[in-house]
Amino acid sequence: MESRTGTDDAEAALIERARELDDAAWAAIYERHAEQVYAYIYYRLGDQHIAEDLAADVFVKAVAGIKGYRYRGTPLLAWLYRIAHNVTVDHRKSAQTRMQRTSTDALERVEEPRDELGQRDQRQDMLAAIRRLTPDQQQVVILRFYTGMSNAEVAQVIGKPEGAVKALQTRALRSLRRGLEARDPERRARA
Amino acid sequence: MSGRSSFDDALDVALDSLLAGGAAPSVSATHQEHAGELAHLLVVAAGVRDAAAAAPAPSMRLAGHARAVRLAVRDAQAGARRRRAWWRRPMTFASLSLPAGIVALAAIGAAGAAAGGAVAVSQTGVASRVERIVTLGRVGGSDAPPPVATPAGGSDRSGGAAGGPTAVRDSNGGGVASQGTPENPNAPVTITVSGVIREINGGTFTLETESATWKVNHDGTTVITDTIAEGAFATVTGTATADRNLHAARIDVAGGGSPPAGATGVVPGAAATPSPADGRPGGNPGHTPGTGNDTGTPRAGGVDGTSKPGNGNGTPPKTPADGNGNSRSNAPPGNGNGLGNGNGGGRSQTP
Repeated sequence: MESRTGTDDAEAALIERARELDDAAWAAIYERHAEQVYAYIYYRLGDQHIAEDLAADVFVKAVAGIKGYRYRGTPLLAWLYRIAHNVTVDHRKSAQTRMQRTSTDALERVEEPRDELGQRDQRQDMLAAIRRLTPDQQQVVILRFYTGMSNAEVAQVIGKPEGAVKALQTRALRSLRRGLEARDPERRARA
Repeated sequence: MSGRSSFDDALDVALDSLLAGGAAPSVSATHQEHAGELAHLLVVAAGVRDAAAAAPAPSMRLAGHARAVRLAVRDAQAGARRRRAWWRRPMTFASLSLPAGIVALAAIGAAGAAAGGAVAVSQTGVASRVERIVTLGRVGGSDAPPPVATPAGGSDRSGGAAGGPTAVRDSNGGGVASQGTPENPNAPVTITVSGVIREINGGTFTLETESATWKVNHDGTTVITDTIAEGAFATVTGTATADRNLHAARIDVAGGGSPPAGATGVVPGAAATPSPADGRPGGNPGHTPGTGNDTGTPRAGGVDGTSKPGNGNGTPPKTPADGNGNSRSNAPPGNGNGLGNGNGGGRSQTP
């Protein structure tokens, strides 16, 4: 995580400038964290363009809510991930309301190639399986495995105790195992 | 419970090693009691970690969205400026325009006050304390300016410059009291009326103006400058009610019943004439005292606040230098309704 590389003072100063609605500060924040936020949303939704659009939404919401944000040593990126989680959940709800299948099944049909190299197919299967987890489990897995956060940091982002994060992590891996094992016969039959 | 927690802890430690680059089998070997399930879950975890490579790199679309964020920042900046109190905003020329306009209006009003006054109403808008300034134009043929219109007691509450109540014109002439206040139309108002004393009856008399007749009551608290006599010209300041009763706080009598020189009588008609320059004689011959030069067409309109000494008949304007009671000011100069009506309470008539 890039926020780890900077000092707390630099982060605090950047956030203070962002609170003052400084253009340059927000440009720096976007440049620094946009791809991370995009990746987080992509892992959860699986659609590149939607993830890019929603990533921008995350920053727009961050601008609107920065006055209420207080820096307490937690990286700004953690706050952005929290917003991203809410944005993702909202998007899924609205998508379900519109009966548009932007969720996993549709994405699998569009993006899942016919096992060109085998490896890519397995990765897409894994991402599809992740998207079938509960929102909390998805959040823990993505933050833990893809953003490199420690358990304590994940706990800060999702607002739960570390013990709860560990439990979510265990349940998520078990669910993934079951899901992948269930898909193996299908894949073998398809091949 | 503790077993589950223990397994969660063991898995978490193993994951830390895995994510740090350790191999899954070796990690599971260090936790023998959970080795079986740990091994399976760590294989899954390794697959999860490797799947990160399946995420496509963002397109230029993401960079393009930086503009949307920039616009959001600008919107937020604009919103913050709107919410900021005006006294905390940076001083700009535009922000000065309103106060400058008010000062300019006050200056214009003060200039109008010098021309004397007609009818004005001063409203504080606060509770029922409303002051009105009424000058019923006295005419005449003398080009005397109209009598003084003052707020009660000569106080400066009738307006003045900064922050004073807004003065408005009152074209109602003698019917001032009927206007009341915005809050309560029947609330008493403090006014000053000039006219001729009639029908003296103990503590009451009638003050006759051209357009209205006021029943004036006075008592021991009333300040009376001279003998109240039939036919005398008087300026009465007091509290008026809608039925034209006027409880006098002060009565300025032009001594001994003699009409003031230069004041050519009560000209309530002028007070009801909105246009001061219409050439109509505002005088009432029956009440024309003094110099008899009532052929003049006074521009002293009474109501419009622009009252200038008229000379429609070619009579040169005269200054009411006679010191008659009517033209006396009860208030210090300059405290008139500066905000716009221009009558200024007749401050210019201070002898």
